[in-house]
Amino acid sequence: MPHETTLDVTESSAQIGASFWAKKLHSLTGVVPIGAFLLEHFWTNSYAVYGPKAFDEAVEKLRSMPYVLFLEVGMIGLPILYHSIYGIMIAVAGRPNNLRYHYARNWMYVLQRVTGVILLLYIGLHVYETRIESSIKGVTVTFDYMVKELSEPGMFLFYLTGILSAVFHFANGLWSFLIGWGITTTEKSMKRSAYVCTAIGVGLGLVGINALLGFFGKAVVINF
Amino acid sequence: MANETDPKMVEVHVKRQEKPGAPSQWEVFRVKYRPNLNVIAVLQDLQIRPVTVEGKATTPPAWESACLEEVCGSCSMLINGKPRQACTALIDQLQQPIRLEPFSKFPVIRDLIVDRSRMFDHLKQVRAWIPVDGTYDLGQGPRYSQELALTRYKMSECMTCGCCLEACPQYGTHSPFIGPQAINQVRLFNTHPTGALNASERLESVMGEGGITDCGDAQNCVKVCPKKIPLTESIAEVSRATTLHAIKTLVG
Ligand code: HEM
Repeated sequence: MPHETTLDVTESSAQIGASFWAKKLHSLTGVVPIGAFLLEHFWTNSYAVYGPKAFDEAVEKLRSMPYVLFLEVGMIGLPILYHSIYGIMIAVAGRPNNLRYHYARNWMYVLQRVTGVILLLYIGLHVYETRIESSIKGVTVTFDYMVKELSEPGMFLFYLTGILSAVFHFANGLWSFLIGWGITTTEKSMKRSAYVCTAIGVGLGLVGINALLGFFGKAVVINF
Repeated sequence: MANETDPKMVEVHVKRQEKPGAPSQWEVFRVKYRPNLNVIAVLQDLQIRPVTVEGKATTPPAWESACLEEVCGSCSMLINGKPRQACTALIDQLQQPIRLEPFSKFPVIRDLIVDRSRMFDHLKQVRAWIPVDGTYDLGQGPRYSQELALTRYKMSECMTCGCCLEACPQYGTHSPFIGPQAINQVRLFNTHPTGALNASERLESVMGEGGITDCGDAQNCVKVCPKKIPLTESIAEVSRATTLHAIKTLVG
């Protein structure tokens, strides 16, 4: 971009660059559809707290949705692919300096990037195991399939890490999103939204862990 | 804080670099303690007697300073690892040995002097001025509220010292990011009723490569700003304005 220093009032010098739109799209995809899908995903998986029958029915209901393949590719696959590729580019462009500046927000900055990279690995394997591998083998993913999956060594910890990374990344990302789109613009409102996002993160984290425990028959069932 | 080995002396470590691109090394000095010394006074002592603790005569460390009252920004450096001005860094309040380094995000010219011209280029990029010069008197500008005047006054205190950029993980020679200081100027001039006549241009100047969207929300800038300028609020306000501007170009 030429930065000539003309004092001409009427001339519009610059334009909105492609990188502006690209970053806005990255930010938007993080919340919708990916964030929205994360919520739906935790919701459906929470049927696991009721055991095999409830979970298998919930999964079957999703699988029999009209246009499900298009929804999977268009609303989940492609957005995650875009968000991931652009996210990696953002992550490697930063120069974290947490050893010099110990501020809490600075740790969130680096954690947002670290959890992003963890999620890339986690989602890759998780999608392979529960969607691609099963399709190739022609088996349907059921409660029992997941139990077998999760009882392999290290898998519980792997899933726990994935769930907590996704929750932190989404909750902290939401806080960032509110600033990036100019929704919170004062230090006060940023602080307020930090409380709200923390609450969302803690709540979502508990829901996620409970669903995971459901596959081991150890979930907490709260009903009246 | 007094020097533990000898309370009558101040120990200071200076990162030396002879010229641009040259390797750097640390030199250790001791100067006589007096109450109310600041880092500038210590550097002046070294100028008088540039001898290291080993008794080796060396060149006096080079630094920049002008106003000596924290309004010009030229004596900014890393003092004990933190970006700040040497003039307001009081020896009595510093942990010893005191470490002085040049800023890491700008090319070193010599010792503690860095080339900060990139910041001034960025001020030109965002048009951090109000173009009212002409061939005839335009008369008085519009009045604005006391409240806005106070908000703008805070933003106007920026002295282009570079502390916010030094602490920003997104800013540096590796990145095109324009950084908080210039984004704050976009807000400063776009909130002025006459400056607002060029609001779109200023917004679009930070809507390209290295613009506002490169902010990563680490928010170190606002923590290290010596003038306590609400830089994160300025970034968020410009985020709001650029978002609305972008939506308008889409649907308008
Ligand atoms: C569960 C999947 C994911 C969700 C729900 C998600 C959500 C989000 C959200 C809401 C944001 C905030 C956007 C903003 O700053 O306005 C974000 C930012 C980010 N995401 Fe993701 N994301 C996911 C996966 C990933 C993956 C796989 C990566 C790959 C590295 C990644 C990398 C990033 C990075 C680097 C940022 C920070 C951008 C910045 O601060 O400029 N994300 N994400």
